[in-house]
Amino acid sequence: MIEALPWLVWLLPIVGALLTPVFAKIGDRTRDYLAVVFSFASAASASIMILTQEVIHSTVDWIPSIGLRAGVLADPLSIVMANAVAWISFLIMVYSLGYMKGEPNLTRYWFFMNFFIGNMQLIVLSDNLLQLFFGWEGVGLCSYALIGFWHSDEKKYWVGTPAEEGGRRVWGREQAYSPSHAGMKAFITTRVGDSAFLIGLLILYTYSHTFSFTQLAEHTDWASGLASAGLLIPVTILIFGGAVGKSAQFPLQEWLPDAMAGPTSVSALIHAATMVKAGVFLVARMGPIFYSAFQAVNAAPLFFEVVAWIGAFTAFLAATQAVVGREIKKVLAYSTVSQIGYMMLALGAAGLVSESAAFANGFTAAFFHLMSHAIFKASLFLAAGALIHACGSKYLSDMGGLRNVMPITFISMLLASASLAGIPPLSGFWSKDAVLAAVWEASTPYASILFALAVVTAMLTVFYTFRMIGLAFFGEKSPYLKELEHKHNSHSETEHHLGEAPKVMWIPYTILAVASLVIGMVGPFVETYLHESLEHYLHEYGFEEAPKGFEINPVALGGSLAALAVGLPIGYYIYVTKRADPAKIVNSSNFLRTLYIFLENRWYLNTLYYAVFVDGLAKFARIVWRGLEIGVIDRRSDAAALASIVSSKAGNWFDRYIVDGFINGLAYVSALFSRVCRRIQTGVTQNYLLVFAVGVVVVLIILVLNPSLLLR
Amino acid sequence: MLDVPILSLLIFIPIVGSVLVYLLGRLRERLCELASLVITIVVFALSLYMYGLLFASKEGASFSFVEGPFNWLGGFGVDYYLGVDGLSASLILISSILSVLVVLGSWDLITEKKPIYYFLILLFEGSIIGVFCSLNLILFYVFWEIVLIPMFFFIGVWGGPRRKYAAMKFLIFTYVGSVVMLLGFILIYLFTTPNTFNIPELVGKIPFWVQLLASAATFAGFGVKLPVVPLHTWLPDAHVEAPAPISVFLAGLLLKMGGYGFIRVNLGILADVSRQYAWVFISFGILTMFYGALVAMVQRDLKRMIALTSINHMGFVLLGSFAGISASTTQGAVYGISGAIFQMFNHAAAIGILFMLSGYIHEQAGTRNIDELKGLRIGMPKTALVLILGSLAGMSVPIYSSFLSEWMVILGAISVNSWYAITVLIPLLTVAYFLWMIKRTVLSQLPERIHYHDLRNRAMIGLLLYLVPLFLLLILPSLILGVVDPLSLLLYQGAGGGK
Amino acid sequence: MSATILVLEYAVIYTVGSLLASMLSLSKKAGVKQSAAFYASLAVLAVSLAFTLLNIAIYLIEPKPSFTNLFHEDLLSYFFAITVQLVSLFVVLSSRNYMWGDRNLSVYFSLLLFSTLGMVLLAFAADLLMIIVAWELMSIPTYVLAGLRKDNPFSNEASIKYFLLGAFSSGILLYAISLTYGLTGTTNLPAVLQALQASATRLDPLTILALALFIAGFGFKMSVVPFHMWIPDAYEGAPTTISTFLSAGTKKAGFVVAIRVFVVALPFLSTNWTTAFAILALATMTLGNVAALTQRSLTRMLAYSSIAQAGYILIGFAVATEPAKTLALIGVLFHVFNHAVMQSSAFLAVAAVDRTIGRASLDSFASLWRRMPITSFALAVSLLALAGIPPLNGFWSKLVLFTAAIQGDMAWLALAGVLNSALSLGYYAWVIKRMYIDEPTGSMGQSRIKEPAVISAVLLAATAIIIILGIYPSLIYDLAKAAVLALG
Repeated sequence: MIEALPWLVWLLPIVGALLTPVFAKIGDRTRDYLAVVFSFASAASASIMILTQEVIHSTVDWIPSIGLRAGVLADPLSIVMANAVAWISFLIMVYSLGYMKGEPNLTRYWFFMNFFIGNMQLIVLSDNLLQLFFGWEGVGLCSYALIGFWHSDEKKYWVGTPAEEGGRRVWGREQAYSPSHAGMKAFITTRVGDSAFLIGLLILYTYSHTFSFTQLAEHTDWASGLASAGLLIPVTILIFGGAVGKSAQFPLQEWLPDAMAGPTSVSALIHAATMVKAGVFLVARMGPIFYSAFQAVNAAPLFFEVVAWIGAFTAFLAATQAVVGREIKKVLAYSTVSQIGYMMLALGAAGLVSESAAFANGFTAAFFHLMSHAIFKASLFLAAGALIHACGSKYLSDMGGLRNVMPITFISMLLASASLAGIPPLSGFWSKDAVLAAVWEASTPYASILFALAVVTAMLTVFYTFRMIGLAFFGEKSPYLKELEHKHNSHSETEHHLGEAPKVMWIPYTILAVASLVIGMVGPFVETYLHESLEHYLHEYGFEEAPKGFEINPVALGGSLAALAVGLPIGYYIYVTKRADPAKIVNSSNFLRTLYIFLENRWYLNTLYYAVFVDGLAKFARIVWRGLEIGVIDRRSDAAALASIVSSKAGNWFDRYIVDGFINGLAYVSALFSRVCRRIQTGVTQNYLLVFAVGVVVVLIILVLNPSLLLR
Repeated sequence: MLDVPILSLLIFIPIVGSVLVYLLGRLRERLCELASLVITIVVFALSLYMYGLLFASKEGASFSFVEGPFNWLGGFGVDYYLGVDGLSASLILISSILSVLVVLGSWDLITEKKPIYYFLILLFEGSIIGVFCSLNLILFYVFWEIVLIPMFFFIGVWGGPRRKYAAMKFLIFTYVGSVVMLLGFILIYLFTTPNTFNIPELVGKIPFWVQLLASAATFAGFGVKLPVVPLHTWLPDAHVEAPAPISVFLAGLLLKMGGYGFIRVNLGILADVSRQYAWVFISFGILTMFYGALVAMVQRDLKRMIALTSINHMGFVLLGSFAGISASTTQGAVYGISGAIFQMFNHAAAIGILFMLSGYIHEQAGTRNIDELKGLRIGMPKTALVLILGSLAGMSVPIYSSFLSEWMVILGAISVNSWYAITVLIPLLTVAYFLWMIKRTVLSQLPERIHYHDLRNRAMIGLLLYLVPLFLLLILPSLILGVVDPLSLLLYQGAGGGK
Repeated sequence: MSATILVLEYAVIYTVGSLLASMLSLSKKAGVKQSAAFYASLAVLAVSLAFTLLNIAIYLIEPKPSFTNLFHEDLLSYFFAITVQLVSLFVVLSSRNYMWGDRNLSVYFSLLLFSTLGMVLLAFAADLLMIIVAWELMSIPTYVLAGLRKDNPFSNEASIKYFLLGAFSSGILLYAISLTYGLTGTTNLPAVLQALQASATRLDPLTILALALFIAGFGFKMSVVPFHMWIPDAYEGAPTTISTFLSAGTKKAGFVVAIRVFVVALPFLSTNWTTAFAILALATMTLGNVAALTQRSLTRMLAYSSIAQAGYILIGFAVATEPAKTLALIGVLFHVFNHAVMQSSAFLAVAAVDRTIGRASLDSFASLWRRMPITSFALAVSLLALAGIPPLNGFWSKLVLFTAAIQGDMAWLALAGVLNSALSLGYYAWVIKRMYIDEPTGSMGQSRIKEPAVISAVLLAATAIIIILGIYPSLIYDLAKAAVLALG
């Protein structure tokens, strides 16, 4: 029975998805509610796994020829993750009931939502790399479908600012994307990472002959094989490539901001709470295994260096872009990328420790931050969705002064943002603190630099968080809103009535916000609990246990407080109290303006990628097509034309059927031949006799010379 | 194993039935459609039975249901000699499945000269089954050539505007390839002791230099069929001109003849050369894969794009089989070869639905030009759904067994040389151009003036049937691999691997 | 029974028959004339065919080759006798439709019978003098037959050319024979063999010259390049039935004599003549196919294709020495028979079209299958067989020939042969495409035309033979094998 639980967790939503079309036949409401019910069932069975308090590992036969078994592994790591995913997605499903009300094609929506949850749980619970990869591709597929949900591409669903709305063109390229385009971009970009992942895991497999995590961990002799082939570092990095793609880390971060073209509920589910965390989870899964692998061949853990640096840099990169975001969802998207950067940083730091007992610190930190971020970021997205829903605009500049209009949304968003900004005593504070601590304790020469980067990022985070809050809720209503209200007053039957969101929408994100508050209240205990359970889990992977109580690292604390001290006042001064006009400040100096543009254009990376990969590849393909296929065939046709001129008498069928290149040489020759034949075949008998005589002579010569040796 | 000559039945029920069908067709055309459906279903049931017995007996490696050798051309080594192992059995199974589906599809898409058409369909089925189960090189060649004739007429008579050109091109290319191949067979016959054309007796007997020459000769025959770049130029034309059901036969079965030949002959009896010079074949395979994918990317004609996709998929077969035979570990070999065979099976189904669908789209929308097809999602929702499902099979995402097979092939390749891992980029390219196609056709606005007719339900079901094996085999791949793996192992050890 | 008596019996049957036919032509009523002549010659052929089969049966029961100094009775002779008589049977039958209504048909039939008799005698001839006599008996009637249509200038010109060149080649043949006689003092082939083996004159330049002249002389009938010039013109000019007779019948006679002279009588010169034949084979098949590629008239195309087929047969001669001797000769006989059937089927189909539609140019074949289904089916089958597509008889004999070539380590010849048959598919398949795929051109109607009954029957018979031999080739293969082994 208990064996079955993990299976249920990932199979239930998939079953639900497959049944959705059937339910749709019964009725729309049935379809919607049953979809939610299925996700609830999965969440419930996930929670039961906690209660069972044991590691569940059950497998069934899958591909016998390769001795591959499908299986589920429910250990502390996956159980905690599974619960987070399950419950957050359940709340989001509830939210969708209200948010998507009245949309067409909802069958597709519910199908993919549930299908997504199922695949996500498959990633979390699978006990081997290949099965994980299946889920991995599955979520990619769903995110493609869900981002492109509004595939009819009406302008209002576009992400980014189209040129005609004063958006900026970069290198003559519009910076706005249609949903279907965004979906494609997301799928293909992540697929790049996936390919790296696939290569990595296949090579890994060829040396270890197993995909199972437990077996990989048990005997790490494969490490020596890889190392001797000089492949250990490459393979680990390649596998990390998968995480980079899914979690939108540098250099594959560009897809996530544009993925905001999807419905907000989707953004909340996929691009905040769950899918983007899959990368982190993968690194968390493989981290201990790689660590012991590096230990086994006592090589420098370069892998973790890379992870840490990419994490830190991405965190910074994204934060800077968030500072200038114009659309509320995009700000959140950038901040998601940046926060995930933190988690990667922590995981990297975890591996950069001398004795394996300390591994648990960074590990816990990353995981803790993952949890708390999932909660408050989901809340933020949902709330943002409510805002957009109310104002009918995605631009921050179109909001303002909403705190009285939508008080509940305001409160919960304030809580969640505070948590994001890392204000004590919210969950974000503790988790970020743990991350910083882990980084500081990392035994790498660059620890201080990484730490500094993290702190600066923290500053930026605080700043843009309050920028967002300020722009949305404080100050005057924007002219856009005023006009909207005016319309509303003049005639009451307008589609947008400005006011609080319906219950079914605000309850979920309020719950999440409160959750992050509660977790914050008991933060230390949560952290200790996580630390213990994870340490216990790591112990099974052969790490020593060094039970340590909860303590606060002064440096880290100082760092995060400093971040607050710098970021909070500026943000508050400019955006909340509106004492200063940001536009003036920016325009006051050339440097700032250039910087602003540079940031808004995403450091020009996006454009660069398009120029190189999209256009580049297309060009290349066209060159191959023109150059080889057409080129060759053309040349053939020329030859054919020549041939047919020569043998024009031979009739038009000649070039019609011998157009093809292989035959053409022949065609040419035979045309000449046949012309010669015709010349000889004059029909004049004397010539025939002459040829006959010549023939006799020739035969005679052959017989006399008898070149038989040449022929054999 | 069984006193009923089940293989001969499999071959001759369709061939004899074809005449019957033609005569019925002269009476009433509807009759020949029904009759051919009945016959193909009977053949399918029979082959399923045969496959089931083989599967149960776990005798995938050795030849079962053997008939003969019966002396055919006195004292000249030409015998009537049939038998199936895992490879043949799985290919025969898919042949019979596709035949049923093709007949179903033809009901809608073929409107003229029905009697001759169904006559040729059954002739084709019978002879291709013959190709897959004949154990005598000459018998094999005979069936191999018979297959050309129906295909020539299919393309030439029921084809599109440039059908005459395509038909002639197809005939000349493939015929030249196969006669050169015949020389190779004759070489094998003359220079092995005892002189014989019987495949089982040839294993491990052929002197190396003969193997070398013969491999060169057979490469012409099998390479054209597979097709290997640069011998592929007949294929896009043939596909574009052929009617949709025939494209299913072309891509689903005719190309498999190439793959089958490579595995049965090159891996089976020319093993030493295959093992020693595997890199040559492998590089051709990789070239084919990349070339197919790149060229497919820029196509405007949906069908031509699919055709080039199937070139790229068949590259996997070449790569897998020769990577497997030259692998260093037994496991690597099993992945490579089993993967290749599995890939053939999956590709047949996956490409089948795509081609058939392109036919329906052309029938209903009047065009196959990707730029002109717009707003299918609104205009013909069922078609759009099937198109997406099919494309997913085409780009082999892991909700179909085609992912498994490609993955196994790549795994085998990597176990030979880690650099072959670059082939992982192929699925990436495939995804890119399929999604682009979908974005342009399905996810675009429906222009007002255009009015499409959507798929009929029967057609819809007929199409979705193609996906059944793909789903089934994702969950239970052992249904195929169970009979194939022992064979792969045998081939590998036959090539002196695993020592 | 003794070979001489046997041959005399043949001579009697045919002479009586043909005399009967020509005497009946004295009758006043035209209808009576032609039908009487027709049935008479039909009867003759039937009788002698039955006779031949009977003798084969007897021979097979107790095989005892019997020699006289003129004739030589063995399975080889019977094999050829059957082949050529089958062909002339086809020809006579189809004349019922094709020639019907022409002037002096009785002459036509009696000449056909004489020529057939000549071929039968050739099959048995074992003495150079006998050979030349039979050779002329076979040839001279055909000169007349080729020019039978006096009013048709083409026909006249063709027959003149054919006659002049034929006379020339006979002269060369006579010269070769006289040389041989001078060298050995005998014209009996076994004696020639012994004489040359005994004496040291075997490498005398005159021997080589004789050899060359033999090749040229026989090559003329065998349509070997460069002695083939007359063929296209003659075939095109002559009535199509006669072209059938020439290409499927008299040509084969050339091969049997060649076997007797070269393989049996001059084996120790094989290094010389194999080489020559190898080169000639290459030239013949290549030139034949390439020239055929660009012909507009189907008769000419078939003429060239039959030249190319002769090239394939020559491959067998090129390796007709150990180790490949047996296989090569089997190949020769096998392909001779198959080619006789395929070629007559193809030519007669053209005759049918020529008769009903009036022209044999390629345009008149556009979508022929709508108008003349039987004819087009037969033509398609025979062309595929000529191209060597399995499972039709042409494939098997080619297979044997190519195998022999490789075995007699002349792999390059086999390669050339294979590529040639690929090339040949170019024009064969093109005709098929014309008949089945192309749309009708110009005034050509769509409606079905009444096909000439007798020719259709003949075509179906030939097609049946082609397919049956394709499915079960051993029927002829074994006979040929026995014949070759009997040669020793």
